[in-house]
Amino acid sequence: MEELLATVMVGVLFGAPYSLLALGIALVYKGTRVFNFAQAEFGTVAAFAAYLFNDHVPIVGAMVLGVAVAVGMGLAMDRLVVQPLAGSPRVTVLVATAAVATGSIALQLAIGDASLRSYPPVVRGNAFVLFDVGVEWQRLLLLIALGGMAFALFVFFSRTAYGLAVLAASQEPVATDLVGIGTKRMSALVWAMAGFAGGITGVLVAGLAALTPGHVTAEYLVFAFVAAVIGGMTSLPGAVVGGLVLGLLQSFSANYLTDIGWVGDNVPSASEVVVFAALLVVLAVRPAGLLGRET
Amino acid sequence: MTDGPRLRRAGVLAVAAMLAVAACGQKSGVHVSAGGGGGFETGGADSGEGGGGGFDTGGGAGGDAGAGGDGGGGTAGGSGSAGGDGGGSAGGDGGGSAGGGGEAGGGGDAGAGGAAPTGPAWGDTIVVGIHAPVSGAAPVPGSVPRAIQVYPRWINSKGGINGRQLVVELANDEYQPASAVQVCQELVQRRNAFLLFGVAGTDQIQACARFAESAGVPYLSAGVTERGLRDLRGYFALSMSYAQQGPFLANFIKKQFPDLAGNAGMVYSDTPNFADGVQAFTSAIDAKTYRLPRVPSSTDLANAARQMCIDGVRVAYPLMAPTDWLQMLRAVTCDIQWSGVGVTMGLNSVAAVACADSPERFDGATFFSPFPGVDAAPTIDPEFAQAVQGESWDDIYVLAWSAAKAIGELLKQAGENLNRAGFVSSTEQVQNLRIGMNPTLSYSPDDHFGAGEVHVLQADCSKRQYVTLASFARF
Repeated sequence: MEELLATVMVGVLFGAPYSLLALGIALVYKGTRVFNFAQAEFGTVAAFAAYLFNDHVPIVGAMVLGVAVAVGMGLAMDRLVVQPLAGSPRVTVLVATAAVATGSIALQLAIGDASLRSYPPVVRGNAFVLFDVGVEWQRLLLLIALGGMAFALFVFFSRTAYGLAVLAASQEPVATDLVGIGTKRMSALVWAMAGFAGGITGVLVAGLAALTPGHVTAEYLVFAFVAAVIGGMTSLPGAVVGGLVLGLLQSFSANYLTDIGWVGDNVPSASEVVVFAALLVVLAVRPAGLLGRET
Repeated sequence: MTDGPRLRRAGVLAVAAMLAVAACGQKSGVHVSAGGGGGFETGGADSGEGGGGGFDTGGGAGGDAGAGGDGGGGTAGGSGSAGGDGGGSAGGDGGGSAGGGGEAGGGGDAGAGGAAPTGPAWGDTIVVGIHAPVSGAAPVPGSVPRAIQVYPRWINSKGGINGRQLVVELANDEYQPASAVQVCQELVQRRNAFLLFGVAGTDQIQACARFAESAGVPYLSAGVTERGLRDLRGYFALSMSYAQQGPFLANFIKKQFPDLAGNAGMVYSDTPNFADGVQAFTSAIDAKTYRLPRVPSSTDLANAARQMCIDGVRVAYPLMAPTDWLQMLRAVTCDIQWSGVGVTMGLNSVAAVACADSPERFDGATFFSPFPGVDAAPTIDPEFAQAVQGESWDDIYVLAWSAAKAIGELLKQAGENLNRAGFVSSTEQVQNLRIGMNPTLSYSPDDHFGAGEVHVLQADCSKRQYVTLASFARF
């Protein structure tokens, strides 16, 4: 029983970053119908900015500034990449976001170098140890950030006129413009929020491992996309659930599946294989994702 | 309305494409079979996975050498591999980065067993191509480009190597085997590298060495795996392999940590290139093993860390990418003495991060290394101290100097009539050669893993770096 609970705990803790990033991906898709491959780079840029700011201000202040940089990056992306390509096929915008991601990583390498960097966590060490699992403060903060972000977005889309306006702008842009809601403003708002979600993820996950250029993209982007798709690309609760499901799948397969002789011997990275197998199953059985519907 | 299903399909396709890219990218090329050699053939017998060969220095294997290829810098050719159709590859504009000669073609001038290697001498510049993970899972620090220039500058100021100027060219292999093969090909074909050197990364070194063999280019590296390398004629390890270090490490642990040795463990990434290292260590000491995927997820690392604590492991050997180990270090909740081998694990950039992240779990960790720490390097090799005088230097400078000086001496021993086959042949004759900080080397035609000593580094978090516990040690 203890083993089972430990596995669940690891899954939830390690799924939280996927959920946070997936929230940003789903938000952009829901608001602008763009697959944003640069979502994780909002995080890496925020982390690097915080790392640099930390030479001058305490880490919490540096993190706030880092997130602000990510929001700025989101706004710049909307203004310089998404808006100019507004009439282009969606695949063009998709490729453009991928170009921003790779360009961002190249820039990080050019400005600094690829050395491992130690990024200080907000609070060092474990909050507690339960079932032989050390729960770091930083991971608790990620869970809290996830809860806060999910709640804020829920309120935004269900209780505010702006939320409604964002949905309207994505679904009926012409009619939205006609009634006086600026679709460009709504797009900018969505990208700024995505930058915020990515930035929060970045400044928190950077404290979990050594920071390198493209760190958040390399470690989390693919899984965050899988989480968003499993949850349903337009569903924000789905993104949260998708990330946590992913973490649980990884944890269970890492802990149980690899112990099965044939699997352990013949399936490298079984915990990743399981994730992608689950994605295929979800797409086959429920293409809209677990919670995929327009809200 | 009609956009719905179409969009959904587009989404599925995009995700599928992304997953395919991810799957290919992350695990690519672990089993890269070199082959090819890009644009030229070196002739010689087919040696299985590796392709041509090209190091026949007489008495050779025959074979139908030399399809000529495209010349491409003319560095191929196998310098007169024996008999057969001879020919060698056409050589285009001849080898050597500085014109003059190259060793291309020449064709079939060996034949008689044991004859000295022949062929035109290399030009007046020797290019050493270096590949290193400048980015990726085990990035080496940004001082690499400066560090690799120190020895060439020093030796060139003293007249070079047998009158030839030494030039080094660096390429980033991104800690990916497929990228390693690609950049090694470029180093040979476009930058006319006489030989190649791999800084770190077992899979990358193995993949690139096998490419080098197929292209007839000597390849040297710090000792890593022996798998797929022991049968290569042109490969030389400048330090002990993981398999050779396994029993050393077991003895070291028993001697240094006698109270903990009874609860030993080994946690390793699941690449076939670590298999010999795992086997050698676990044969020498009773150790529990924890296998991780080659690119483990955070949950894999957390689960392994937890299991090690539950199993009561007290001393553990981590054989994996440093970034993964740093994550694992944070996840363990019990006291584990870490003790291992490797090149990148012993870098001060790793120590600095580990000391900042988890000082209580890292302080005192020990690693075997091919080079000493920055505290001992200037004493062991005063010429290094002279060469870096007035410069800001780090352990990468030590690594680069140590390897480059050994390579420089091996090149010197190859004589003035330098060619690749000759270099291989003369290196095989080396006995008890200690150069600067590099472990003493003794090679033979049957054994290119000729080192028998290690430096032992110990983490000192008060200095945020490794200090040298022992040098040129045998256990």
